[in-house]
Amino acid sequence: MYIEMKDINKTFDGFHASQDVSFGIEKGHLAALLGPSGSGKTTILRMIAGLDIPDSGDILIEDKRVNDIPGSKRGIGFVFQNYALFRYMTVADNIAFGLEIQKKSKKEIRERVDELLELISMKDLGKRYPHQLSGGQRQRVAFARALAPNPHLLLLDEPFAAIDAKVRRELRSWLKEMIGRVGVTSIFVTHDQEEAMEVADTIIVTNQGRVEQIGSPEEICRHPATSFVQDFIDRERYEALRIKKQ
Amino acid sequence: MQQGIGIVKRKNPHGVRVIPGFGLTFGVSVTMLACLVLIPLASIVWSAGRLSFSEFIQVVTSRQIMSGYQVSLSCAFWAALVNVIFGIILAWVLVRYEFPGKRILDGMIELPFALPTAVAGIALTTLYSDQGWVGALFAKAGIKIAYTKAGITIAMIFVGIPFVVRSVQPVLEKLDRGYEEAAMMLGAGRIRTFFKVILPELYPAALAGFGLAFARGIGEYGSVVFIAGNIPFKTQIAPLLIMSKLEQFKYADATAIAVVLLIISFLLMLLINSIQIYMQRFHEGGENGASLKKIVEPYQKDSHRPLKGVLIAAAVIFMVVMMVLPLLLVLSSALKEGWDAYVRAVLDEYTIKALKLTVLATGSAVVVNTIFGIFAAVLISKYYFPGRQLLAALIDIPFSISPVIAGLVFSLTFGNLGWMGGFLQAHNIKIVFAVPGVLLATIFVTFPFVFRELLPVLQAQGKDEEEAAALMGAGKWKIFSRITFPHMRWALLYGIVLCTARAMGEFGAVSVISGHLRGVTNTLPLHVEILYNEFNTVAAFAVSSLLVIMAVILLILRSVIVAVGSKNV
Repeated sequence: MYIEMKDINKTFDGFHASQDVSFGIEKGHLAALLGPSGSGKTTILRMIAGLDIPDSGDILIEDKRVNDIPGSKRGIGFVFQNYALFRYMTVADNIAFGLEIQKKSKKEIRERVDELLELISMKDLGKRYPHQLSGGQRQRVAFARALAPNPHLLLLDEPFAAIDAKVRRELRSWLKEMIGRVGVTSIFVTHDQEEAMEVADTIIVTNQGRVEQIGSPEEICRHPATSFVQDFIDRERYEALRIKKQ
Repeated sequence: MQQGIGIVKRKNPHGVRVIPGFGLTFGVSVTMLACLVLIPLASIVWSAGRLSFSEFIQVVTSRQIMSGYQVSLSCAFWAALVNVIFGIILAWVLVRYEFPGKRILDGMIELPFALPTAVAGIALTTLYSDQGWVGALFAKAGIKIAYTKAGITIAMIFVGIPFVVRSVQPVLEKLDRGYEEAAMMLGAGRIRTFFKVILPELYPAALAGFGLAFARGIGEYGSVVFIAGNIPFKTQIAPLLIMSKLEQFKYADATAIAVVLLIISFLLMLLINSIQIYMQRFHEGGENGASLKKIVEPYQKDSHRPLKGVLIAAAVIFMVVMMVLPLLLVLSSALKEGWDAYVRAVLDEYTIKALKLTVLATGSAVVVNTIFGIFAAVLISKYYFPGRQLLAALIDIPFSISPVIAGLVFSLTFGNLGWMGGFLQAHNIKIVFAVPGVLLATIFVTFPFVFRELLPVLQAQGKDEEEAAALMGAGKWKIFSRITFPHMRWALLYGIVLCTARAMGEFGAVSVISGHLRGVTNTLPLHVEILYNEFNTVAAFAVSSLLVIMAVILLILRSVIVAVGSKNV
């Protein structure tokens, strides 16, 4: 297992955000944390990133316990729900930010920024500011910024929540393709089962701070492990999606 | 204190006014504004017109006047700059850290609003003179502070600090933690995160605070005039020059100086507003609709220990030197000759008379400005009509002009040489150098206070509830008493406290118009000035201590209202 969560517990002011959470994700996989709002999926993501610290349990990345390693040293790229682009920096400066901290040479930085701008098809927009971009473009910049320092693991918090429905579908397949091309292990949080089924190859269903089931979209839909999963997952939608894909 | 009035733009294509009562609120607001602010202000134009252009240029370019502008502008600039640095540190410490005494520190920020400027002036002068607690330390090193530009700058720092803190603090409180987390995930340390990511977010608010502190510094009179020492060509500030021209009855000259000062303030505000509007466009780049509230851990967990200590220490030392020492100095100087001397000074006949006038002036200002504030805030937040924004801007004028200029406009209107002077003399009505003038000047300088507190609250509430009630057939009084008023209760109390504090301490405007007639037109702050200038220091500080006690009570009231009000919204 590349990422492993072992018996993680976390409470906020008496609210049990994570209860005995355990699961693992293999290298190169694209996993979705799926659950209703308040089910604790974002908390799990933030604990992997080191933005929150679990009360008990172990977080392992490549068999190494990372609980006490600060998030910035875990080799993780994070795409925030509302992107948190630095508003007063250009697109290029946003992407270069992480590279500057690594004290890369000017030339190296420029090359990497150009490469990423190319990847997100925004080659000529490096000098723009975030306010001059569309929602979809902002999301792509946030993606490029997180990828710039070559992370081993990419975490995305509700990456499509802030995008209007029309663009969302387009962006989903774009993101799946990009992640496949870069080959980085990724976990994203979503409350939209269609999104999870379409994009992810592994789904972790959460409810009330617990992991209900982990498996491929097919397993989750055809063989729900708990009554919650059975109620929550709309099997017909899954079958319809499969037919559409074929 | 709320800074800046943002008016929600809403198109009303049909021009339908569902809520009754527009005529009444419009009539009352505009009439009061015209009588109490606009007509007196127009006197400036009338008076300036009496000088030819070359005479005007000759007055304002004379060496003494030019040096006055230079002193006022340079000291106000440096003071505003220092305030931006310490204002950001103070706001940061108050928002991000927990430490004992934090509530007190927070409450003390408003002291310069609540403490009468004359009291601040004599306290700072004594503190920074060569024999003073702080001044003596610098005197040993051969540095003079009182009666130099350094002294003027310190007084301006004192009056300006709340503007920066109260501009930056709310922005820092609302700042999405995502920016910092994003920087952290990319490997940035706390220092880099602060300077590259957080600080740019604070620029617009810090700039607004800078502008307000700068403008206040240029116009400030009471707290600066004592420590300045008023040495010609060296430490004479522009408002003092207006004052001395008035004392020589050179009204046209005084007007000319005031006009230049007003133009400078206006251009400054225009510049700062333009920069802010320019920076606003960056703003929307940060958010993207769905900013769902995440569970946020308290800040102190990840705070960097040594830095935290240094910043808290800097904030506390700044506040102790700027706020606590002057207060302690007032109390210790008042009691220097024992309790009996203190009681004698406080119970002196003229002190009691001055106290009565201060209570009368403060009471009138609070009543008049509360009535105006309620009508005007309801008018601007609940009804759509062309010219709303202009009206809101006009109401704000008294806030942004020097108190000395406020006094000047009343002299120009009602004085013997003013345009209504002949009429008033013929009917034997005295306004200038009499009690009505003192009351009018106090009302003028505190005019926008209640309005400014009410408007944002009413705007945030919107007008859906009023419209629903109106459609059910409720009349204007019913709508006001049952719906609008309950929303504004806490803001109203808050505005009244601020208005009281400012009215009680008003010095510059009242000083121009009162004529300093002991026992007749002397308010407490003026009485303090007279006693101080007569070298009756103990009595001056004894009377000051009364004002300090009132200021502290008002500050505590303010904190209580804020604490209780935020729970009841």
